[in-house]
This record gives sequence, C-alpha cells and structure tokens, in this order.
Amino acid sequence: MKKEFYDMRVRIIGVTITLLVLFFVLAPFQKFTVSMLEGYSGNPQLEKFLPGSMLNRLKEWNFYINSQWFGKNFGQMIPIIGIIMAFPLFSREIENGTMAFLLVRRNRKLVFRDKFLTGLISLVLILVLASLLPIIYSFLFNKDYRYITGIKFLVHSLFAGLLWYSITLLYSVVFDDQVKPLLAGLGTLAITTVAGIIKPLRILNTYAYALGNTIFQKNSIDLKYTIGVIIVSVLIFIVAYRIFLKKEI
Amino acid sequence: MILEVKQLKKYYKNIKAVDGISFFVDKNEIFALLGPNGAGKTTTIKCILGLRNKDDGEIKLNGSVAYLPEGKELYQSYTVKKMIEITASITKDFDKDKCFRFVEQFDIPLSEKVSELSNGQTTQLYISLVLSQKAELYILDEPTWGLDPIVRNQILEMIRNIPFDGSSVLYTSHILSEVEKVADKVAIMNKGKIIEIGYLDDIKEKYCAIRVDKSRNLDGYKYKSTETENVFVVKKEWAQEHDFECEPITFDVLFEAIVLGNNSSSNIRGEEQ
Repeated sequence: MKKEFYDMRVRIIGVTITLLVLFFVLAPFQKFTVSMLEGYSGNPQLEKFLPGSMLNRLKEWNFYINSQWFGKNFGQMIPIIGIIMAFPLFSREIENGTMAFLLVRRNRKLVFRDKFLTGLISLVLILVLASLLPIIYSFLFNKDYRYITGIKFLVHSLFAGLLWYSITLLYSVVFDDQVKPLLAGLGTLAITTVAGIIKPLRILNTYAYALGNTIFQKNSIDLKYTIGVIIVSVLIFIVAYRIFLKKEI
Repeated sequence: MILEVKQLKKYYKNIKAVDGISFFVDKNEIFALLGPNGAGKTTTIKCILGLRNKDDGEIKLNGSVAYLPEGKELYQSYTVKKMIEITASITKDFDKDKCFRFVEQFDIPLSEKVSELSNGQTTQLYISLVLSQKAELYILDEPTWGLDPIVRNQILEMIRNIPFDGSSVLYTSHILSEVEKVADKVAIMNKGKIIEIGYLDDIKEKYCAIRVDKSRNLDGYKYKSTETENVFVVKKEWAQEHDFECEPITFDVLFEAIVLGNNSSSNIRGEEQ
C-alpha cells in the first residue's frame, strides 16, 4: 500500500488543502456574512431566496455552520471527492502501461485490495477531517455547537462519499484511460441529480442525502437511504472486483 | 521442466492471435520465441503470465517468474531511486543492492526522474529491476529494443549468465543475430502458430536451399525468385531423396523463408506440386 499512498499523495494533499481553505473562508466570517446579507434586506429579489427568518437563523452558530458547511460548501463536494479519489486508481495504471508491472509481482486480489483500501482510507480520512472541522473549530473558539449533529452529518458524508467512490472505482476498472472514468463519474452524478428532480426518481438524487436534508428537517440520519447506499456500494465493489479479476491487460 | 504450454489458443473475434501452440522450457535453458511482428509472441507470454485469458489449452508454470514486457513502461513521476525502492516493496525476492549496482553499471543517475530517461536508459532500468529479482523463469519480451550495440551486448551477456544461477529464460525477439547468440532452443512463430521448434543447430542442419526451374513449383518455403529459377528452402532429407543439389543456408535465410515464403500448411514437407 506504500506505493498506492505515494501515488495518491497529490490528490490527498490537494483535496485536503482545498477543504481547509474552503472552511476557513467560511467559519470565521459568520458575522461578516450575516451583516452583508442584512445590508441587502428589503431587496425583493433577495427576499425570494433568503427570507428574513432564514437570515435570523444564520445568526445562530449551529445553523450557520451546518447549513453553510454541510448543507452547501463541503456537502456539495462530497460526491466529487469520492470521484476524485477513485477515478485514476486502476485506469492510470492501464493507460500508462504499468498494470503489467504490478500484476506480475502481486496477484490480482492483492492489487485490487491495496488500491481499493488506499482510496477508501484516504477518502474516509478526508471526509472525517472535513466533517469534524466544525466540531474542532467550535471547541477551539468556544462556540456553542451541538456535536451530535456534526456526527450525524459525518455519517451522511461518509456514505455519500462511499457511494460515489464505488461507482467511479467501477468505471476506473472498466475503462482503459483516466479521462473516461472521471467523465463517467461526473456524468452519472449530473444525470442522477437531474433525474432526481422528477418525483418518482427522487431517490436517485444523492445530493439530498449528501447535504443532510433529513438532518436539517428531522434532526435524524436517513437510515433507510444509508442502508441502501451501503448495499449498492458493496454490490458495485463486488462487480468491480470480479471484472478486475478477469480483465485483460 | 519450468514451463509447459499445450495447445494454447487465444482468439480475438476472428483473429487467431495464438492458434494451438505447444512448447516447453527446461530448467537452465534459454528458449527463444522468434517471429515477425504480430506473430503472437507477446500474446503467448501474456497468456502465460495470466495478463490475458486463454481460450483453450494448458499452461503449467513450475516456479516464480520475473517479466520484462515489450513496452518498457515504468512510473514516469518516480525518480530512479524511488522506482527501485517501490519495486523492492512489492516484489518477492528482490535484491535492492544488486539493482543499485546494475543502475550504477549502466550509469543511470538515481535522482533522475523516469520521465527524463531516454528510451535506452528506461530499458536498462527495467532490465536492472527484472534481473534483480530472484526467479526461476525470466520472461524477456524484446529485451534489447532501443539499445545501442554496446549496451545490447552487455544485456545479452547478462541474459546468457542467467542459467548459471539455476534459472531459465523465455525470450522473444525478431533480431536473429541476438537469438543465435543466446538461445539454446528456438520456436519460430508466424500467424499464431509455431512453424519450427528445436535446438538452433538442429533446425539449421535440417534445412537447405534448392534451385528449381521457374516452370516447376514446389510446395516449400519459397525464398526468392530469379529470372530463370525459384529458390526454395526445404528439408535437407527431402532434397537429397529427390536428387536436388542442397545449398547450406544461414538461420537468417531460413527464418526469412519460413516467415515470408509460401503460406501453405504443408510447406515443411517440400512436396512437389
């Protein structure tokens, strides 16, 4: 796995830095954001999107950080992080002609295991860090934060990331160059999100889950969807594994 | 026996890349698979290594394998040193010190990125990585591709020494002079089939060239035509039986005749049509 982590180092560092920057241009600026929005109050255009009650709620730290971090900035990035962590895992080796180098040294099961686990561990570490940022920040800066809510968002983040990691990992096994799994992953994300607008297909919109809609509405984890995501992810991993065992290099 | 291949078949839709070939590699032997581009050599090797799925046949591999592929692709973003270290971390029985010695011998800078190496240096690095691995069978696919004559001879010398350490070599090339220098046994492949197999000297001894009038045609390997006659490569035994004057041939001529000559399925017999 040493090699795999070495190969992933740029992506891990890049994504982590992006998330940290994103968080620190958001968390310390609650007062600034609210006062800026208040400056626009009375503007009928803004009232449509941000009613006064919402503006008042943003003054409360829990709502501000949860809605702006989990429900917006970080939340929107979760599927993309899953895609970024998975897309080159196998396809880059095939595209660069180095897969044979690996497969004559280690058996396919080990190669799959190492790649799969390295991507997964990196993804989990990044998502846990990003999900814990509000908790850590609140602790350091004496903000009153309901930690349990942060943990609920963490669960949604982890499994939404896992789903998109599994989907893109399958594409990475199937395709022989790096661009196709990336485009296929992003394309699937776009299609499922758009299809989710149609009511009977709303289950396809994984953003509702990733952004933690049920946590905002009912203060609870969407258990059914979480179990569904786990089952679908495991099935996709099994399919990807079986394809990789038979794939011609 | 370190490797046995029986009736191996690999088809890509209608293309018979490998069409029922059989051969074996003994211990301490250098076995060369010889053939033109597209003969099926690399596909055969990939089937042996499990990189391609065979359609039929049997492959028995009795030991560990080290492999040098035809495309000498390594990790472009690594430095030479990192490449050696990473290889050591994923390869069983890898002698890192030996590899550093090879790299030093080839004068490849350790801090250089793989992407900055020339084709020849990349091949040298890859060969260093492969030969630093202790294996019972070394499969080397076009090992001297892109190398200058001096380095090529160095590499050939290294390959020749492999059997002295108790290992065997399965080697592919289309450079005949190289094969003559290193191989004990040879299989000549063309269009997915093995056309001739055996010890190099025996094969050379088995064939000769005969000249026949242009009006006569033989079902043999037509090597060339002149204004008045055709030159065929046929089995010496057959030529003598039919009172042809036999001219000795080099391995190059035999190879060229077999590969470029007529494509009849019975062409080894040298029968008169």
